[in-house]
Amino acid sequence: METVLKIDSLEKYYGNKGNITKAIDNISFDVKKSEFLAIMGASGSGKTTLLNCISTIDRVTSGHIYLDGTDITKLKGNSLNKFRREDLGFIFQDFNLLDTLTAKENIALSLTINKESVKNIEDKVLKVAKELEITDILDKYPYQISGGEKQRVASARAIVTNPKLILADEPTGALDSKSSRMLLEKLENLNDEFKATILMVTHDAFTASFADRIIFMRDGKIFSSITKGNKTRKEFFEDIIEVVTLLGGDLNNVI
Amino acid sequence: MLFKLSIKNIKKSIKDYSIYFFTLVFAVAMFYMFNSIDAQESMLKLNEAKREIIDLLIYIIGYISVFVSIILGYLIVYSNNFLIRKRKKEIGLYEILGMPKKKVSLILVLETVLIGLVSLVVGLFLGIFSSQFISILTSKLFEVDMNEFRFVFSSSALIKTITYFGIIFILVVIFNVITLNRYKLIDLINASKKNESVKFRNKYTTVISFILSVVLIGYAYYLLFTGAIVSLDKKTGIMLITGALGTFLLFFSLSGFLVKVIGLIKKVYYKDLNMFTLKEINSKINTTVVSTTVISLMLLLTIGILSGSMSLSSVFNSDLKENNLSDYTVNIYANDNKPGTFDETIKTIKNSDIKNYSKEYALYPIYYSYELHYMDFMSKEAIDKLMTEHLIGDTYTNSYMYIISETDYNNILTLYNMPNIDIKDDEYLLTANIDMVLDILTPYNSSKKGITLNNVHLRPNGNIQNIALENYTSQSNSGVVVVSDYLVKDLKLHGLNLIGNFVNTDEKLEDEFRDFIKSLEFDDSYVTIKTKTEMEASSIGIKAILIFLGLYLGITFAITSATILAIGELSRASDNKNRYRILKNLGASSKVINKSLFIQIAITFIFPLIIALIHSYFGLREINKLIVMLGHVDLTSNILLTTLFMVVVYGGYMFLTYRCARSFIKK
Repeated sequence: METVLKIDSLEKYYGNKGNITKAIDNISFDVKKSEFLAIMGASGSGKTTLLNCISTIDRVTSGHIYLDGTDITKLKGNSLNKFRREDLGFIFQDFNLLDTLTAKENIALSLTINKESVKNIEDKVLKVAKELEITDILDKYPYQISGGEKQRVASARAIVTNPKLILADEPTGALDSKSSRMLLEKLENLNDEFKATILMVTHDAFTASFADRIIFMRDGKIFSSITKGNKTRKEFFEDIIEVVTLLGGDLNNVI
Repeated sequence: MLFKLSIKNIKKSIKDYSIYFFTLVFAVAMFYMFNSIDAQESMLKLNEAKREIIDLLIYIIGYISVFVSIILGYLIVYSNNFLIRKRKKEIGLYEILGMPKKKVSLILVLETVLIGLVSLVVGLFLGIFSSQFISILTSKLFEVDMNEFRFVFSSSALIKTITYFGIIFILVVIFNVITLNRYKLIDLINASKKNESVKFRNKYTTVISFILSVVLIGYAYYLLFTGAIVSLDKKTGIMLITGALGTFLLFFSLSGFLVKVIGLIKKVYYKDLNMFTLKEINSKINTTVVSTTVISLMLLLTIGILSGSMSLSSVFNSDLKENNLSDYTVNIYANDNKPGTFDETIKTIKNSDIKNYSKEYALYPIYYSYELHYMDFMSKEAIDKLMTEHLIGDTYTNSYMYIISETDYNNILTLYNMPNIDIKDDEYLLTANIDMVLDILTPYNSSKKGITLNNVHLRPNGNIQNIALENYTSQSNSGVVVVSDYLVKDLKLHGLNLIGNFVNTDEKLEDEFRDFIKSLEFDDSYVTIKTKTEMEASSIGIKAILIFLGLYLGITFAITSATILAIGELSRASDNKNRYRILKNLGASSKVINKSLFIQIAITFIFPLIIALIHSYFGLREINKLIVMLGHVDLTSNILLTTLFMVVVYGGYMFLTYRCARSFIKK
């Protein structure tokens, strides 16, 4: 299977001389095309920093990140913006929808930023909306819809440009369990149907159990990694709990 | 400790809200400058008449300053409240850390006092510095030389500025403490989490209010065109109220309306960030309809005051020498207008000691006839034009035309050192010097159709003579017809004019001459005396007063509205930082984001200005119709001046706002 994302000995330090915090300490891993990868870890394990580096929001200290062969740590200015709008899709914990735009306009916005031709915009929006079952709320404003619906709109916005990689930062963090399950099923669906490559950061074992593979992080390093393979989700969930227990007391209280 | 905290807070907010501090300093400087004219008085070589006018100017500015300080006070209290609201979270943090409310209040009081002190000192410094330039303007306006250029300092203006702004800052402190005590801790802590509910109006409300606004504004314009601005009665009030209400509804509906319309043009709507930009503007205008309306009306007032005072002052701009060809004019009005009324008076003057004061003079009775009106000297087209364009056109056309005799007119010309004119028995000569009067009388005079007086048909002797027949502050000859002596014998009398030149230019002689004329005690009549020096002084003075007041009020209103807009825009930019971060994450380039921000700020500034410009265009058109009757109006230069002023002040604020907002969203 073809590699989409390749992380090569990545390091990210904060602070200055004499007082250095290694947020990411020499990490390397690959993500294959149409893989659903989860990264798990406690607060401060470096998982969000990793996501920020991949999304080019933050600069790396050393190492390389290749997306489809391009080293994105070398991108600057316009090519950086171009990379973000064409190759990446974002899903955030707090949705990050624009309050003044309707659901439909929020989804369309990432297409207009991408300079999609006008005649295609509405069709594309409608197609993903159908997939995520949000056609009924397309004309509503974010303050008129529920958290789960908001996150599905945000997911639609992330997928509509057909990006190489979707980055999801704690997508279920602000949702109740019913909405969480529904959203994750939809993400799973996008992964299957659209062959979307998803990289999700979470500290929740249930959320992580929807992924194909999980990388566990602790103190900026990779602690271990497990693959779902042919296991059922329930079995996979139990595997995750085992690793989490090994990871230390930190995560126990999360579950 | 508290002091240190206050200083740190101020340093932080000075950077973020430099526009507010800039405005404070500017307001203090302006206030000092306009109130320091008394100190400049001593520096100028003034005659008595001009000194009186400057005293009047100082007196008027004193009153206007009270009004200006109320406006500025409102602006400062409003902006300060806005800034306090922005700091809810910080205040909440102090309280959570266990600081008593009293101490939190003290921090805010200290901050206000410090800011007040700093802006007062800097503003006064700037004001004292710039008032040196104002004194040059004053001497130019009053057409006098300066005794010597020396440093101007007005202690009374200094005390006044400190007192007025001191009161304003005390009010700010009181308001701050009140606001602070009204807040609940939970609201302070959650302030940043509460998202503003976005207001979008439904289709029908938008359409109905848009139609209603057009109807209301249309009605206000109808009243305007039918003379409501002049009548100053109930009609004027109705015009103002419907106009303001219509404007309010227009702002209420127009942006929603535009979004709907542009939403239909998919090519524009789905281009770059247009969708986002439009919706942001729409939501902004929807949440600030009242303040947008107030700002728009304030801009209307700014443009009206500036442009109105400039046009009115241009009436007094025209060459003073052309309007005052002799040294003095004495108007004598009789209660009786039968022929021969003035025979006694003329005899009294001729036999008096007038030679001691004035060797050269001319005496001329002014006649009128029931047969001769203005309309007899106007073509049909000119009458129609006057009636449709000028609200009091019929007053003009139905007025009697004044008549003087050929001999008297030639006496005047001799006094003026101009060649005499021969008018044949069947001829008349028309004189006038007000631009508008020349305009309405010229077509008929050129057509050579002639008039009829005492059953004699008279032809025009030539073109209309552009000449002043008495002393006045501006152009004064609104039309006088000269005819052969035999024709005036039986006409009705309007009055008697005595014009002449003094034997020397001593100022005392003028006062003595006034006393002398009063001592003559003409029977049954009343007298007014106008001298060239006095007319020049009041002409210059009125011009200066108009310009000073126009600038003072114009600047006050312009900076007030611009600052309110700027502070609103800046706080919105800092509130919505998150939205720009989202755009950035979605891959929008800084260029596109900045463009969207610029369009938003530009439209917020320009939208109320456009409505104000449309209103002021029609309003000033009506007002100018009145002003042209007073004399020459230089419309182009005053439109140019007003535009320049608005572009510099308002545009400057807009640009500054954009710069600050851009640095906000970059963070």
